[in-house]
Amino acid sequence: MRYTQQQVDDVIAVTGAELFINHVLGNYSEAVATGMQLSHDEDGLTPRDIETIESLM
Amino acid sequence: MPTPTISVEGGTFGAISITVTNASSYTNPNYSVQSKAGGTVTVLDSSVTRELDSSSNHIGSLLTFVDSNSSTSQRTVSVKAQEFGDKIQSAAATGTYTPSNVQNRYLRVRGVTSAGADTSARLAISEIRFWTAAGGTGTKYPTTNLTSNTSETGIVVNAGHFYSATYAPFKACDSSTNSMWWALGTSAANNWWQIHWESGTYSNKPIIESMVVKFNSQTDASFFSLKGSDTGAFSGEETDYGIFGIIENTTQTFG
Repeated sequence: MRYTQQQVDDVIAVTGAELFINHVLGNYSEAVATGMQLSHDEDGLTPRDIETIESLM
Repeated sequence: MPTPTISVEGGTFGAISITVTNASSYTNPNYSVQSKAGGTVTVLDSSVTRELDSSSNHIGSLLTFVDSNSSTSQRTVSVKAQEFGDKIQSAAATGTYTPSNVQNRYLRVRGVTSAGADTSARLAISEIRFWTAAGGTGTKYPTTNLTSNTSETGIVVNAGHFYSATYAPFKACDSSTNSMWWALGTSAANNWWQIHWESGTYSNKPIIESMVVKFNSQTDASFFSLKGSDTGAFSGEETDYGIFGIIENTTQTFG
C-alpha cells in the first residue's frame, strides 16, 4: 500500500511518534498497523477509527 | 394518490424486506405497514425500519422488519402510502410471506448491499450465536466461548478474510464484546464469516430458529445476507435465507 503524508500524520497523531517509529523499525504494533490500514482505506481517520486504535494501545 | 406496488422477500427467522417498486411515483412519501396472521396483527407499523434514499432527502423504497410472532401461518402484509403534508392515504397494497427456519451444515454471513450484491464494505462482528428456539432461547451454537476457530468439538468457525490474528473468526464467539472478527481490508468476495457443524459430531444438523448478533461500529456494510450450504462450497448449491439490516453496536435478535 502507498500512503499520503496526511494519512501517516493522522495515525501518528493517535499513536504518538515513538510507537509509530518503533513499529516501522520492526517492533510490530497492532495499533499502528490497524491505524495505517484504516487511514489508507478511508483516506484519514474518523472518530470511531481513533477509538478503535486507542483500544489497541 | 397512487397505490404502492410492492415486492416482499425473506421469511427466515421472520425477517422481511419490502421494496416499494413504484417509489418514484411519490415526492416525499411515508409508508404505513401492517402484517397479520389471520385476524392477529403480528407486526405494527412502529416496528418497521425505514432508511433514507441515496439523496438523504426522503424515505427510500426499502422497508424491513422482523416478525417474531410465534404463529407459523402465512402472513398478509399491507402497505399504504401517504405524501408528507397530505391528508389522503393511498389504497393498500398486499403481499404474503411465511416465517421459516434454517438447517444446514454451514451457515455463512456476508456483507451485502440493500440489493443483495456482495460488497467490500467490511463486516465487524463482536458477538454472534445461533439458537435452536425463537428469541435467542434453547441451545446456542457455538455452545462454548471459543478460544480458537476449532476449540469446540464438532464446530469450526471460519472467514474469507480477517485483518490480523487479533481479529480472528473465533473472536466473534468468545463472549467478549470488546473483541471482534474484523474483515478490515477485505474484498467483496471474501467479506464473510461462517460456522460449520461437523457431521462426525452432529449427525443431525441443528434446526436454527433464531440468531443473536452484535455488529461492531467498525462495520461498514448496512446489510448482511445469511446463506446455508451442506457442502461448504457456496457455489450455487446454497440456500439463500435473505437479507437483514445491520444496526451497529446493538444486540440484534432475528427470529
